[in-house]
Amino acid sequence: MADALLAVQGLSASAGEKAILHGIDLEVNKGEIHVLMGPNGAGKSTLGHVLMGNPAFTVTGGSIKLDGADITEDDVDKRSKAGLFISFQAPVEVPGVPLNSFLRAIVAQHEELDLKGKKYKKRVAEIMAQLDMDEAYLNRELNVGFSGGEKKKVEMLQLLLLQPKLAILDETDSGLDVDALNVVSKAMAAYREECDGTILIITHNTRILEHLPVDRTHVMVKGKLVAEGDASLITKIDAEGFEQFGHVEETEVLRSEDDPFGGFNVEDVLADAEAALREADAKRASESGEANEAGAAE
Amino acid sequence: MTTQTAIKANRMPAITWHKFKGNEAEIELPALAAHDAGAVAFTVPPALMFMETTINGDVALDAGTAPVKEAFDEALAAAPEGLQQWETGMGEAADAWLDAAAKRRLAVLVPEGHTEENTLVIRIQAQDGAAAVAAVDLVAQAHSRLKVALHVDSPTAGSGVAGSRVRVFVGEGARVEFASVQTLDATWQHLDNIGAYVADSGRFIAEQTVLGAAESYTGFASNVAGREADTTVDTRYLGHGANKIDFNYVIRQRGVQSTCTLTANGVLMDSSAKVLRGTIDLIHGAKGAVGKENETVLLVNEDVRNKTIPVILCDEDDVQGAHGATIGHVNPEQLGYMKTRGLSAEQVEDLFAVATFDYAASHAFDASVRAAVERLGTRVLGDAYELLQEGE
Repeated sequence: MADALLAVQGLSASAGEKAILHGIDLEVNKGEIHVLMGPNGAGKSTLGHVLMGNPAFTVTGGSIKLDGADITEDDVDKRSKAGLFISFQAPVEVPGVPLNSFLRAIVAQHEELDLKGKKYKKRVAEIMAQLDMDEAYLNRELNVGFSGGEKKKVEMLQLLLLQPKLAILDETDSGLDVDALNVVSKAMAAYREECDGTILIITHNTRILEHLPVDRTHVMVKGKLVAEGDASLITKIDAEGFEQFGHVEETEVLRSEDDPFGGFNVEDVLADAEAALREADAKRASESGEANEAGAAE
Repeated sequence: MTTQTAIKANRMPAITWHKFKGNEAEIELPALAAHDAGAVAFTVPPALMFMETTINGDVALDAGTAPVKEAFDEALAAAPEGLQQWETGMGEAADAWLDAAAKRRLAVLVPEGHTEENTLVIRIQAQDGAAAVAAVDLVAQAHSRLKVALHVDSPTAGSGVAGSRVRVFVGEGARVEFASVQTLDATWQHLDNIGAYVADSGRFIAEQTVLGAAESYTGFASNVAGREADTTVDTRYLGHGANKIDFNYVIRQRGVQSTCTLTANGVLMDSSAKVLRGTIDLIHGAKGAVGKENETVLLVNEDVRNKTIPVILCDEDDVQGAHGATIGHVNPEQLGYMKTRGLSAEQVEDLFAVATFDYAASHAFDASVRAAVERLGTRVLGDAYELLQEGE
């Protein structure tokens, strides 16, 4: 579709030599809510991170367009400035950087927001009130010592502050209690209301979707999009599970299944990739050694 | 009046190879005049007893002078290995120099059980051609609480030395929180010398922030002598320009089940240099003691020089000692996260420098400290800092 906000065509990606995503086609129009579902390890979070430009992954084929511009080769920070946002499952802690310093710095990179000085302070105060956050958080170091729910609130704070064109919410609901879930849901509603926000929700839990007007649902299994439908597909998945889409038990799990966040761990993927690279290096060295020996013999 | 001299200070208890040039600091001190009345100011909260020496050497008396003296005598008797041979972090030579240079002295007693959370404030303002030094002795009697805020600043241009010698006795079950901020401009020397004694179940919590000066020397010794006594230190620093920062932490854990946590976070920019010696000495008899130290140093430029020297000395079986250090650029996970919000790698590293000032400003104990932090931040980081502060 020509006017799709996000247009992904034939996207394939790997970590090292390990192929993870296979020929993904996905279109998300402005103002829509799309849901990406699938069992643990299906590659959902990987797709989110590949869209964001995570250098842990290599795009091996296809393209990503945001608002008509090809961002496939762009660095992560450039994609952010172009209007892409991802909320993390487990946001990292950054000792030494107060939340306020971080927010001011990222707002300064998004000049279109025109949030300087008092405007910035006012806007942050408004959003923190919306999220039921005490402003004392601003003086705390970014995510350091924050509970899981507090970290997700900080992610939502950034979402509402930056007002991106497209927000990828990666398992934002995981590990949240009912109250925190309500706050996150409110934030998503505010994002849509205030800037006609577009959302791609990655989840394997349907609870957060209960009060959202979902436009399209996509199902991923083993790095492929295997089904697509409207919101009724969520109900069907709730009732019948993911087995209806194939041999889920054989799905390649990239992360320990007992992990409460599920589905993605860069370290695991990198470890696999590094192992594969070592294996390839060893093979090349072995072949080279054989060749040299062969050369010496000649 | 002091004469030009060179002293050795901040010596590690257990030295390592001399070729590393990290065992101690050599400080060249110029001849300096005595400071005048405006250089050192004390604000003692009500209900604390104190003795104060004015610039003329007179003793300003308050109603509690006699009890203060008695309390110090009692503290001496209670802590023979602490007060009589009081170990300070910078060592004897620096201690003697500071003692001689100090023209303002303060001794404060926090009475037993006193828990009002008013803050004792010590302000030291550098004066051109002078040694602006305060000597402060604090006794927190059993189960009392004391907060201390120390600010060393250079509101006017010039060069010289500014600093302090502070000794702290933390009585049984008492808690002393000591926060210091140094915001000297790049023409000054800073000497900061602390010695503490912590009795049973006492806690000494220090937050030290070093943001400026051409040379900054911090020595910190704590005798964690009591059962379940604790010393916790949280240090933040920023190296910039060509400045030198030198720390020496010596934590003597004598108490059974005593604890110590030493944490340092710093950023080194430009061609700055920093040494941090952190020694945790688990002394024979300190059964069940736990001491740990950790330093994180962000190296922003290639020309910076960093020395991190963690040492755990151990003469007791039943103890735990741990140290760690992270030195280098921003870790990939943090960098990746911050890049998703639009910051480049270079901007992320700059942010850590800005954040050091921000953290100090947001945790400043009053508006004057905050203003001093922002003044120095603007001088060091220029527009990058000023623009971010705009309208704040």
